[in-house]
Amino acid sequence: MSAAMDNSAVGPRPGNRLSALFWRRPGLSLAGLVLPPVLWMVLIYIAALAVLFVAAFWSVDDFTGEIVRKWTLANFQEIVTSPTYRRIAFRTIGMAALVTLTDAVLAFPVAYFMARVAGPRLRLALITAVVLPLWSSYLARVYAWRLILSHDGALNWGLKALGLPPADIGYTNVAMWIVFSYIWLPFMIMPVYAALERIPRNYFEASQDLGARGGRTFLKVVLPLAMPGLVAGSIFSFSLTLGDYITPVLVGGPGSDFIGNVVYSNVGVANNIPFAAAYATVPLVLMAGYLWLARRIGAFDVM
Amino acid sequence: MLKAVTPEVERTADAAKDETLVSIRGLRKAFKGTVAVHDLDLDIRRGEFFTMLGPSGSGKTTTLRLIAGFERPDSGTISLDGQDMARRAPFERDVNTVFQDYALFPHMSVAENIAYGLKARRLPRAEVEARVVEALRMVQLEALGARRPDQLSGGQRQRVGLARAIVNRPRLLLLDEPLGALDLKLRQDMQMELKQIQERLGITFLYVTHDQEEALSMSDRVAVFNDGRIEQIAPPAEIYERPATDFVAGFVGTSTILTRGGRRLVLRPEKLQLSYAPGVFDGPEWHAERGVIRESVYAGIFTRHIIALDTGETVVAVQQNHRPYAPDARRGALVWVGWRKDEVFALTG
Repeated sequence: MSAAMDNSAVGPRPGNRLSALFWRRPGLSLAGLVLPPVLWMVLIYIAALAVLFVAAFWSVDDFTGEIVRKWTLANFQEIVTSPTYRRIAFRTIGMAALVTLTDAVLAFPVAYFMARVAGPRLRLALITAVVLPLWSSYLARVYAWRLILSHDGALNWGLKALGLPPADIGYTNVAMWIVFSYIWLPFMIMPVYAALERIPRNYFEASQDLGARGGRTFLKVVLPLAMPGLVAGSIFSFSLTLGDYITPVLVGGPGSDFIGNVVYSNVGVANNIPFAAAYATVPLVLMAGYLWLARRIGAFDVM
Repeated sequence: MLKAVTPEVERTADAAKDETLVSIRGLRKAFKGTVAVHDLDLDIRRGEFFTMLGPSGSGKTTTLRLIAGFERPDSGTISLDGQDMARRAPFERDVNTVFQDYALFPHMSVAENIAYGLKARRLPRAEVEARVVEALRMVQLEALGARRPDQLSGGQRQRVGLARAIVNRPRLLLLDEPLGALDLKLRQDMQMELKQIQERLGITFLYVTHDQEEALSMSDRVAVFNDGRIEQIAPPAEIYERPATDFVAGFVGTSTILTRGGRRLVLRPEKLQLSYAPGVFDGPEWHAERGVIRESVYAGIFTRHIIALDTGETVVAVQQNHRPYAPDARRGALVWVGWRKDEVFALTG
């Protein structure tokens, strides 16, 4: 029997010969595995970024509207000196930070309940409920919020029914804050849940055993061990808010422009791609720094 | 053996030995209809090394977890120095636990782990530091206070787990199979060390294990658990030499139970003697039976023989390998198995 197996293993079939070649030359099989994703990354991702970055140092001729391929720092100068662009950048970053903080505060108890309190069936139901909104279109959900928050929307109907004054928060930064927080909440809950779920039960027991009450156990054991999950979630909520330009248009007011909106209008209406590229590097650089920090905290271990 | 205690301390410790520290009455715990602990009564004396021994699922770990406060009892009391603490939270009990898989906090250094309980009790910083250093010295890890748990070996981690518990100087220390994850050699070293630390500190140890050798070699007294109940509580030698029940006779050590003259005898392998000729065990104090060696297993220090008696029953006997041993030489040989009547214990009931 073993002789028959040996025969088939070293047989002359081409598939076997290829396998044998890969076995003899491990470097070859590694190259075969790694090459496609590396090519994809370099061509589609890195190359596009590089073009974007290079284009940020070009300019547009005021008269002809043609792109002038000459190195200049004019775009960056304008971003730094113009109060409007500065304000828009700070609004975008501030909103991203606020949304991230809000989501962290909202997500933690939900994730904790899912990971440490709920039984297996309730847990599954909750995970489904958290992920479910992601199955419907982003646009539809933002529009739904627009209807809820607008002057004649569901929110004001409810307030009126309760005899309370109407909350006119439709088309404001407050509306944006609410909608962003809602939209990115699942992206915060899931990594925090994953981090909390991985904490062994006997850490809780050891902490209590050593005389720590709930508050100390939370601050000294649970929170530090959940931190990678919180950071992972914040990468999502922060970067997704930073790059968004649809929600500001749909639920924001006249003074709600984001970096993305400026980029959009420069690519489309103004046809100033170099400036768009320069402005787009602002969130890029910001996120690169944030990711570097997150990696040091160990956030990528739970993703 | 190393004795660090002064004579005075020793005397007071001895005087206090008969005093009850932990008193458990009618303790009961069921999980989803399965009773893990049946109306348990148990007294543990001050300064004692007390071991709960039993197979997995026998209720020993559940009992320990009830004492620690990790589980809530269905009924019963757990008194520590006369005060019932059965319904107190773990952080309200003057009890600390050494966990089987260490449960060291991975994001803290060794020193921070050890200081955790002291900080929770808000002791002054200088005292915390002094006691952490002292605890590190006691478990011989002085140099490793700054390390993280994942930079330590299994044995070192367990020492940290021990230091983290004893640094709080609890009235009762619970140890849940603390050596279960270590290899044999390390386990034996740690057994000695645990025993020495226990004697030096005078802390009452409540030790859970399924390893009968560990229980016999370390404990002052052993409680043998089976199916949520205690079968016997006694010092190690008594557990081994005079088992109270069939279960104890079978679980602690190897034994064959034979009924002779209406008495059920517990035959320990090392109490049986072998002769390849008749007439050796002829005195009135002897009892002898004939059989055939079915199997001989060489185990270094001794050889284990499985013998089929003429009655059809099988007994196990061991012989020390005083002389160089020729493997398999005795298989199939006719043999006389003898024991001294006064050396064999008869089960009651």
